[in-house]
Amino acid sequence: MERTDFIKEKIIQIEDYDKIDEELKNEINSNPEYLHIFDEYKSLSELLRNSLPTPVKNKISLSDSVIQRVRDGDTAPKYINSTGFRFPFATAACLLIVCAVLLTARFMPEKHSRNYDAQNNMAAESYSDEEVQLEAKLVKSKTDSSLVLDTAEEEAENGVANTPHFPVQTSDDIYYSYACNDYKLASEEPESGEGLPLPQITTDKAEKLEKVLESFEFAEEAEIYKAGAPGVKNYGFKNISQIAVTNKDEAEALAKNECTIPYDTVKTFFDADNEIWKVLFMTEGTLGNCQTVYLDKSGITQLIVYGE
Amino acid sequence: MLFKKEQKSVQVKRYTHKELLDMTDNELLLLSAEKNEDAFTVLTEKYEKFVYFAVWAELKNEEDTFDVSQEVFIRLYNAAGSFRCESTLKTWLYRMCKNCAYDFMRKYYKHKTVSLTQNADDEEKIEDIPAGITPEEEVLRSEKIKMVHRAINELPEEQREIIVLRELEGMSYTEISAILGINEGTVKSRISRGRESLKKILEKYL
Repeated sequence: MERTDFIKEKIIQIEDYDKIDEELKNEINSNPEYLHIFDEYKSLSELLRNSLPTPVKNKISLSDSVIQRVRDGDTAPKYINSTGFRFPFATAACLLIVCAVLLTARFMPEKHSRNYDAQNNMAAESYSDEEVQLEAKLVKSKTDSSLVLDTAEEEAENGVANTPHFPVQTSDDIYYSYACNDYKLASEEPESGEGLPLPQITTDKAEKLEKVLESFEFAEEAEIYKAGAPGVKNYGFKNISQIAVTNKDEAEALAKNECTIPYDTVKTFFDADNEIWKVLFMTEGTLGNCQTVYLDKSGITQLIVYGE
Repeated sequence: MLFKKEQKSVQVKRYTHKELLDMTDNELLLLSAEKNEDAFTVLTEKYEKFVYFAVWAELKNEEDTFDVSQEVFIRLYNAAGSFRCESTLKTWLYRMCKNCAYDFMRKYYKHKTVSLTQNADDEEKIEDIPAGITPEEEVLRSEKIKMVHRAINELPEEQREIIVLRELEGMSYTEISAILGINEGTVKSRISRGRESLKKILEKYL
C-alpha cells in the first residue's frame, strides 16, 4: 500500500509525461494500476496544453501589437500607471485623524490648567478675555470658605450660567457642580488617589451635600427592600473595589456600572448619617422602567432595586 | 568668430535576424536599451507566451491579459537599461508581470466582477473553425477549454501559478524554482497538489 502511494506521488510529480526515466517507466508498466494513474495524469497534462489561451486579440498577436506601439512611439503606460505617484488617501485620512486626536489632547489640558489657575486665585486681570476674568472671579469666590449658596447667588448675579465658556450649561448643573466639586478642587488634593487613603467626608461637608442633594434614610429603605424580595439584588455587584465617592457625579458614574440597560434620567440622593448614596435611574415617560443603586462612601454597591 | 557645430553621426549597427536569435537575453536587452527595435522584437517574440500566461494566471481574463501583457513589454522597453543582470530576465519579467497584473486589478477590478468564463473572443473563435471540424465539435471543444480555464482559476494561487508555468509555459522544475524563489522540493509538492486538485475539479465539470 505504501509503495502504491509512493509510486502514485512519483507519477503525479513527473516533470514531463513524454520524458520519464526508464526505472519509473518499468515500474509503471509492471502494474496496471500504476499505468492507469499514469494515463490519467498524462491526459490531464495534454488537456491543459491543448487548452492554452492564445496571445492574440483582434487577429493581432501580442508581439506584433507591442512592436507596433514601439514603432509608433507609443511607449507611455496606457493601462496601468504604476510608476506615477498615487496619492495615498487612506494614509492621509489616518494622519488627519491622528492630528485631530493630538490637537484635542494638546488643547484640552490647557483649558483645564487655565481653570485650575483661576481656581488657585490667580489674578483675574492677567486674562484679557472678559469671560475668563468672570470665570476666575467666580471660582475664586467658590474656593473661599463662603457658603455654596452665596456662590450660586453670585453666579446668578453675573449671569455666568449663560456664558458659553463653561462646559456646564444649566444653572441647576452649575449649582450641583459647585457644591460637590468644592471638595475635589482643594489644593491639597492628590493627583492620583491610587494607593492613598480614601478621603473622608466630614460632617460639615456631608451637611453641605445634604443642602444640595435630596436626602433619604437608607435604614428605612433597606428595611423595605430585604433580600429575596422581588426586584431586590444584594449580591453579584460590579462595584466591589474601594473608590472614593465625594460628589454626585462620581456616585452616578459608579452607579451606572451596575446598569445593564440605558436610562435617560438620573436622580441622586444622599444619606448624610450613613454616608450612603442613592442613585435612581429611570426612563422618562415609561412606567416602572427604573433602577436604584445604593453605594457607600467607598463606592461599593450595597443594594440594587429594580422597578421593572 | 563662427563656430561650426559638429554633428556626430551615430552609427547604429544592424544585425541580421539570425544574429539576434543567437544572442543571449542580456545582449538583446542591452540592444533594446539602445532602442534597437529588432532586438526588442526578438525578445518580445521569445517571451510573448511566457508573459501572457503569467499575466493570465492572475487576471483570468483573456481580454485584459492581452492589454496588461502589452504593458509589461512596454515597461520592459522603457526599463531595459535598468536591468542589472543580477537575476535572469525570465525572473525579472515574471515579477514585472505580477506587478502589472496587481496594479491593473487594483485599478480596474475594484468594483468589477470578472466572470470566470468571460471571453470576448468567443464568437470570433467559433467563426474561425479549423477545417475538418464541425461547428458542433468546435462548440464542444470550446466548452471544454472554458471548463479547463475555470478549473485552473479555482486552484489556490500558489498551485495555479505553478501549474500555469509548468503545464502551459512548459518550464522545468529548476526554472520554476529559480523564478519563484522556492526550492525544487516545494515545486514538486505544489505541482503534485495542484494536479490532484485540478483532476478533482475537472472530474466535477467534465
